[in-house]
Amino acid sequence: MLLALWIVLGGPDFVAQAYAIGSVLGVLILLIALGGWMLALLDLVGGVVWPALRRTVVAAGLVRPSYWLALLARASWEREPGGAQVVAAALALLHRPHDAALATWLEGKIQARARSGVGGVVATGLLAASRGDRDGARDILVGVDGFDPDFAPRAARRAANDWLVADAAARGDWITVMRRGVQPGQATAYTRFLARAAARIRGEALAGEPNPTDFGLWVSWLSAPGRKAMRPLLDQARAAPRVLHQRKPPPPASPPATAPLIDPATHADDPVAHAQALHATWLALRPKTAGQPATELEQRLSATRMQELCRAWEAAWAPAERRMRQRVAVLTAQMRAEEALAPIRRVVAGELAALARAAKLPLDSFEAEVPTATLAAAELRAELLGGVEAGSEELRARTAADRRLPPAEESRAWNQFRRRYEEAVLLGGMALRYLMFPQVHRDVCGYAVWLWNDRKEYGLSGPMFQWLLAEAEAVGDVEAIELQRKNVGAKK
Amino acid sequence: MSQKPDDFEALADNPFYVLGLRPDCSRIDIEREGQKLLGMLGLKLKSAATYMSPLGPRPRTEDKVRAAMAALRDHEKRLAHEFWASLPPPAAPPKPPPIPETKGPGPAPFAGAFAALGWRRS
Amino acid sequence: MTSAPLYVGIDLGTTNSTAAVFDGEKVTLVRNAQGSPITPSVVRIDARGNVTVGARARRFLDTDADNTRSEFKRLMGTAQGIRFQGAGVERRPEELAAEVLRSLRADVRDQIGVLPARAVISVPALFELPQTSATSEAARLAGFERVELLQEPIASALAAGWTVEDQGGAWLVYDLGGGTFDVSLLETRDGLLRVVGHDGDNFLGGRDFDWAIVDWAIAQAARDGVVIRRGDPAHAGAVRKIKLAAEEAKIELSRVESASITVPGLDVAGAGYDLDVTLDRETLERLCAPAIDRSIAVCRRLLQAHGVADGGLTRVVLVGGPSVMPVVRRLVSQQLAVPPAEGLDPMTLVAQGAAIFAATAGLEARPSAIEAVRGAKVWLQYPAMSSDLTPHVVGRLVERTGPVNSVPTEVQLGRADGLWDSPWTPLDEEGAFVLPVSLVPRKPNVFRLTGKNIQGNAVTIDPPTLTIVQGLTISDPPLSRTIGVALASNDVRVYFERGAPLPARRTFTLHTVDSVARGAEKAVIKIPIVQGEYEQAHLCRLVGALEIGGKELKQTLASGAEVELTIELDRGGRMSARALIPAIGQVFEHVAHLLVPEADPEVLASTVTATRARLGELRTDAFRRQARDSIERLGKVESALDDVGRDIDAARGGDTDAAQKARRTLIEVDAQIEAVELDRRWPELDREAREALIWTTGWVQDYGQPHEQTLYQETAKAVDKARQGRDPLELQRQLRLLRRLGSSAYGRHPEAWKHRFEDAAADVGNATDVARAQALVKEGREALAKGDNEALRRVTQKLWQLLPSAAEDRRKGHESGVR
Repeated sequence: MLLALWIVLGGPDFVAQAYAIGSVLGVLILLIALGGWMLALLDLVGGVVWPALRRTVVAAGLVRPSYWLALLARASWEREPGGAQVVAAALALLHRPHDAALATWLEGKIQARARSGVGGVVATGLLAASRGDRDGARDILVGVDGFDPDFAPRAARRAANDWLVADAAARGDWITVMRRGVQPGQATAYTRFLARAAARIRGEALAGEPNPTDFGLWVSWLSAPGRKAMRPLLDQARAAPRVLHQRKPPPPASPPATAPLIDPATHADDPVAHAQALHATWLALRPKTAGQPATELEQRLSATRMQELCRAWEAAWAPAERRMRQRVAVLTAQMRAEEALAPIRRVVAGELAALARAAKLPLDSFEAEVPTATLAAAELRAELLGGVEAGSEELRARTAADRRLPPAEESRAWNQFRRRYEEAVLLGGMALRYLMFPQVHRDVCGYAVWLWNDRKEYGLSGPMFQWLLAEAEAVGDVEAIELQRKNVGAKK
Repeated sequence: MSQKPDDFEALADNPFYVLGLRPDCSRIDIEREGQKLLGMLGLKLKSAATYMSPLGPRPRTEDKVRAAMAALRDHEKRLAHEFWASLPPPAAPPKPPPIPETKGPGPAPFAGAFAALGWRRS
Repeated sequence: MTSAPLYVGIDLGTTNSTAAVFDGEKVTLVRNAQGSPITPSVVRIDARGNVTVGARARRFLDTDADNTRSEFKRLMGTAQGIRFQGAGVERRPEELAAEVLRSLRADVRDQIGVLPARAVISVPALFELPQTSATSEAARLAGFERVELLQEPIASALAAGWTVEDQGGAWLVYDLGGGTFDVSLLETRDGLLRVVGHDGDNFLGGRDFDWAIVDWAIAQAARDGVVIRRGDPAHAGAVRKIKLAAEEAKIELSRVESASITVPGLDVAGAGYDLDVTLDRETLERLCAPAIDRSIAVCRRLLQAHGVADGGLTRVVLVGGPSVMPVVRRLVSQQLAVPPAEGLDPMTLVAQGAAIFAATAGLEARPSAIEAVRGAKVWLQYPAMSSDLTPHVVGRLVERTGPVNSVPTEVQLGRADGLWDSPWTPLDEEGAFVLPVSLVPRKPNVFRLTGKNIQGNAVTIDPPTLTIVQGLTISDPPLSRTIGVALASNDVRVYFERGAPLPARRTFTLHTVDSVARGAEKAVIKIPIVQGEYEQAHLCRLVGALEIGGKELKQTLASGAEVELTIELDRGGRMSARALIPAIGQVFEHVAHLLVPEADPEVLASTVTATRARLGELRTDAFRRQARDSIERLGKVESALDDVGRDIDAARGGDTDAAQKARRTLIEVDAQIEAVELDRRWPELDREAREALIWTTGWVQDYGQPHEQTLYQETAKAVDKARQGRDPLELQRQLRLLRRLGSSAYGRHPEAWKHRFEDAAADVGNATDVARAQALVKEGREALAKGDNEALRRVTQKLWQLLPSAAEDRRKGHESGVR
């Protein structure tokens, strides 16, 4: 092609000269092409290009070269070359000091080249991490688990998992490290070493393998990257005794219980103050900031304790009403005592429901014969159902209006909804599951079909069909089972 | 999905606790105490900056004081707040924060987790 | 002591304005150059651009209407420009209001010798945010360096409370102005004046009396065969003249039994006509009665809302020019069974109250009232006016460093009359003190502040004195209307309830609906701020919007991202908003348009047509259901629509104010209709439930599997329970499950999909994408013809997705981008 152009431009007089230059060029081009082919060939054999890239260009933090060279990693990314490019660039970005201009450039590339598929999701997550938004990154990358492995290249899932494991280790969340570190299909030498070291130190078994030996630890460590940084962990693990039989996780060394500011016992003679003090004790155990797990509340607020609290309130209402009647007379308010008490009862019920939710207490922990408990249960039930219904409606509305989000957002929206549904099932049991499923099935199915048909997000919608199938089987919805079996089978 | 701590206002932000008064106080007490606290907050005095509630110490702001005064001027609203404030606030000054809880058995957080992959600690 | 304190209050009225000053003991009205305390709110700009204000301008109102303007207060907060033909200039309403304020300010200077820099200006209680901010702007233009706005009823009550010795109990302030009606329920107890609640009608006032008289006069003229139309621009001049004559007759009738309305040489579409009719008091009362009745109904509504029984009022204070009319005073005190407060001037009460309020807010009018003193500087906080006889004075040293001798370590407060001294009080570690002081009732109390240094020697303190007036304590002004944010679901996230004390600030976390790409020009997340008491956003009034545009974003914003939106209101009700996006650490503060929307008569007219059609449907339905409440409500809607029709006619004749009124009435009509629809929803749902029970029972019995039949039994019970408990949400849930079970069973019927397809196809007109839906129907028909049940099912399911609409909700919610 280039030669032909030369000839045309130069005319017959230059043919000889052109031929000489042309042949040199030609050989060069040939060599480059051959090199590319060779690489591609090697890649086909063992998918070596991607790992090689990750250890060289990507590790050097060369964002743009990583982006272009990733085109050669066909074998690891057969379905989405664009995904390979953006993930490679995003990884490279993590290997160098953050550069806002490069990040913006990559954001543009994600929008242009990876509009669908898991690659864009992983790259978006890593980009968020690079920008310092670790919470956001975690949220997005966890969503990768929800992709159909058939449509999500292993390289992408591994990149996401590497980051998630590193993040969990950095936070000291070793349970996640042990679970994710050996997850088939996603584990890498790096995650395996971390998981094994943690298992050894904690004296626990990993999924599918026994507690690691010294030799096993050595091998894992040697095959993992970043040996120098991980050496202290290896030493700590080797120093820990090896536990051969699966030891039950030791009973949680109960953290020093937060002492209540007001001891309910001191108000035992006054039912109102007693209920309030008890209430305050539990409220004080809520996490201080939103989004934190309510660990202490979860450990200490059992169903029995909740029942005790509800009964304390129940005992408080009659004296409270008497007291309030006296105050109404003093204040010459126009309200009646019962009227004034009604909103208070609702507030109490709402707070009881919120406490139960934070402590993951099921709906049936509330006793049916205690009116305060019934009210709280109704509140919790409405909240759980309402949340799922609103979420489901949102998916439906977005489908109907064809309002498209980038895949990372789509995956996050879906996971958020699923978590909400699963929470409702966890706390509300089969009764809520039966009740929610018809709407959820209609909306989620429509949403998944839209993702599949109109948007070709096979990786995202496949697992949705599977999820729907599992739920349909759980509630015994024969029609839905039949439909979802077909959907699950319809892989392209 | 989790409740924000501020959602539980009935106890923690009760006007009586905010103003440092008990439910049997008179109307003049509310005006006098409120006006004094507003003055103190206006001059940024530390002695007025927090109040004690059954859920522990809370920051006191001019907005909260003003809202508390307005709430207690209205007898019907006052009635409900009296209910919640019938529990005397803990007298003791806030205890020192508990010893940082241990993360259970196992290694401490691994600061080098990102570095081991050659990544920046984002 | 140099001189007594000076506090200025201004009543910026629709027709008249007044200023008053207060010195801590008594209130004095400020007289203008003509010697009257009342200055008409009229501005004239002549051909040479000279500005005249007040009575001198008012004289030109009928002869030179194009260059003389009144009643601009009612346009405050709109974008409406007001044209002066002669000078060829256009002024905004707040610029004209500023002219009036400037003239009153000069009157104060002429009378007191001080050009006030700070003042309190009264505004109607139901003014919305755009209107209050326009008023502040007017004050700024008039040269005031600081003003506080005060709601008129509080001002009236404050003045009345200050004047009348016997306090205590519930008060009603009935304020009938030229164009607005406000009623407020107040309560005084232990010297604390508190606003319990407001109500009112932004479009009811003395003007309605005038128009009633004009309509009557026009009807009289019609007997002579002369047709004058209010909506006809050709008749505008004649109508204006009749109106002026009507106003004069109305005022005259307060004193005499009959008055004549004489307008010679009326130009009615080219022909001349001399109007000369006589109006007697009885006719006037008959003409005014409907408007007065409307005002009394508003009073009743307010009393009812706050549980005040008949006879529960101690006193009613009548305020505003039109309330001078004997018929108003008589009807109000008769129907509400309460004596009117005597000895109060309805015309100037508001200004007096505003001046007293300036004292409670410590708004000294002198530009720099306190001369510089060399000494230890102290910041002080104390109430400028208090009902408490022993309030606190809080102080803090500005600087605690310096020569030891000049830094006080102890302070003392002493009353100027020498009868009371505080003990010497040491400063605390922050250099602060809190001291209770003792006040002499109903007087300005001056206190000396003295200090001692560590050696016990006197130290001069700056300021050396402070003044506290003993009188009323006024509670913080309450917010007149609920303020919130419209959400994408068309719900409202309430920030401040009506009645919340001002100033106020609140933050909520909202979530974005869509993602916005960085740099995307057109992508904008809109956060609409609305005012009103309705639960649905589209019924509330949009008063501002905060926009987060892709262009300004530093990074792409994910959907569902948190937005921490803070709304802040100052004492005068001025609003500011601020959105923080924690994920990207960016703040947006620009609040877009804060104007009363313009009301185009043609748009309004088409809304009326649509509303009438809706009304017809609802009425038929209400009659069928025998729903008496709904029928009654719809009757009201009908008569309100008639009013709107008349206002639209007037608007076509150039009366912009009538257009605004029509717009407001339509919103209220909308709310009424909504209420009727809500009434209707339950019976409809209940009927659906009954029907569903009927059709599903059979199918589940015949085709259901055993576990389905068990679940069905339980669900049917739950449906019954929800129906008994009238719980629509729960009923809908159970119905979904019931239908699911029914449809599972029905699906086993060989022809099920055919029927389902036909049902969906019949509804195709309601699809979100009709073209696509029609294509699907076509596809379905082909499948049906081929007997391809599988294809038919696919098509039907796709159709279902297109059918309901959610886009509608979002549009209604002022296009909100947050949830």
